[in-house]
Amino acid sequence: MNKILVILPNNLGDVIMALPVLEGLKNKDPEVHITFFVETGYEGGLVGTPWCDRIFLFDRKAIRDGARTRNWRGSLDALKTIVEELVRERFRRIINLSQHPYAAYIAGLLSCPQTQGRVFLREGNHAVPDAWSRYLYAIPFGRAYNGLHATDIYRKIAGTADIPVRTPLTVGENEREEAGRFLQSRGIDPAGPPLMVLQPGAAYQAKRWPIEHFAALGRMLLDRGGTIVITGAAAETDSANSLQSLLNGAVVTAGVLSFRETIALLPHASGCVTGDTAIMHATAALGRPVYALFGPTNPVETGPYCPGAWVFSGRCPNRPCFCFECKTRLCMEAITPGDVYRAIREESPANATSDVYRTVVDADGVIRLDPLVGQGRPYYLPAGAALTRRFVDKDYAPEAPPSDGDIEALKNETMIVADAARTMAQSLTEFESTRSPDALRDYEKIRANLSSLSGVGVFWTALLNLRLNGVPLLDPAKGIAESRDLCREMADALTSALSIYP
Amino acid sequence: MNIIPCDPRDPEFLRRTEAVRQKSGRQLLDDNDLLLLACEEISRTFTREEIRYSA
Repeated sequence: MNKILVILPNNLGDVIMALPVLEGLKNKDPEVHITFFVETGYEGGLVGTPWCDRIFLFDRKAIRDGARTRNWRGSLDALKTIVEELVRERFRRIINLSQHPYAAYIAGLLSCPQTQGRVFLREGNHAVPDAWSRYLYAIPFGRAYNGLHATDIYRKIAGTADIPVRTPLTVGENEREEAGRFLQSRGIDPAGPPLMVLQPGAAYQAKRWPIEHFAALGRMLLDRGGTIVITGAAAETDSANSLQSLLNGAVVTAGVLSFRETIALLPHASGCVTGDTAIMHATAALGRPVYALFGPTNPVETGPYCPGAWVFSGRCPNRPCFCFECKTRLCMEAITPGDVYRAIREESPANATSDVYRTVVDADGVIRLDPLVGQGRPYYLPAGAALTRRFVDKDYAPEAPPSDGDIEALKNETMIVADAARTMAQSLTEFESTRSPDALRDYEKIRANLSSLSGVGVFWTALLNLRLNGVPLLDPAKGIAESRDLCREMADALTSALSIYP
Repeated sequence: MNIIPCDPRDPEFLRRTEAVRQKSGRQLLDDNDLLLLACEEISRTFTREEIRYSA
């Protein structure tokens, strides 16, 4: 049997973002058996999905807490038992989508013949063997040069980008009916006036839309005759109750319904207004209307993954800053209830005080943010993003030649890295023939100098370092030869990628 | 001056992990080595309330 292990012991939202990968793998080979390695508590997006055959729960916190005590051997034994169980499965392929270093150690322990994503080698270094995983890892170094959603990158890593995404998340008929009965028990007729789901909570302060804004929007919806459900996890009960106290007749499910029961409400709703949360990802994965409010995080990378979603973002000059706490909260404060209300009514966003986007599927099947009102700091530079994508995907050709931004600067900095990589290869060649330490010093010096770049060169340097750091050096001669070839390959690929520009 | 150790982990655990790190790059690591490294890495993972970890 073709057994695949997908590793992503991350939060609920990340797991839901990976569902299109599972759907693609199953559609490509219906006989494939997929095991999903997920952290305990974050399996809600996987329960009941036809795309996953086994949910492998990993109790990280229990192992962590034990390892922090004098009884650390107990945690070590527990981890060993988990790994032995995974080894017995004899996976043919591992797709490690996690960026946690410990996941790379676990991937290394499984000694699988085919691994995508980060893996720790027995030679003693971390390697990222496939090009799209390296691209994913390079993004934090140069966010302005990526225009792809994380899910689309996951799909490229898994080799399922050519399989259309249709129903990554499903809610069973029984679950839907149960949710309908719940609504009726709280005085809401599922077949009655439009029901809007409001999700005021989010993982941390900077991602939360002000409660007053939620309340103002809620009042507009209630005045129009609508009904409202306020969702949230148990820990978000207080904020949900605060909002309810400002919205007469709204129903709170925070702390009442599980995550799975909550998403079963969504098919009954006309939409969901939410920050960057797991509920946002679930609403999008169910293909329901979503109004996503973005602050410190990046909607290009982790926005709603479905066509037609609305995305709002305040025009903070620092966005996306990824701050957990923010004094000004400008990005979230600047999204007005009126902006969201007009979107719900499908009215023109022309007068919006925040930036407004809708998601569209490009001809090549990737999700893109289409700006309806986009006056704030751009999330990325399309000309640079096209270049980095072309570097990884030799067949990629944008619909129109990139023309925005400073293409000369992109070309120049790309050539600087290409020339540096060539010179590094020459230094290693010289070392191979002369054994001169000076040649190695030259190599290291050129490599270190690349850290002074600030444009797209940062992205290229990250990619080069990811490759070079993954070269085992137990056999130095072999390691030198491999590094030399990688530098040459990198130089050639960079030069070739520039052909994207006319 | 009394110094209160802020790392709650057992010194033996840390010593063994460090020994594996010293081996790293000099000889092939075995399953027990990798398990120890994984366990040590997990011991440093965080929830949002814990801010000292950096991957």
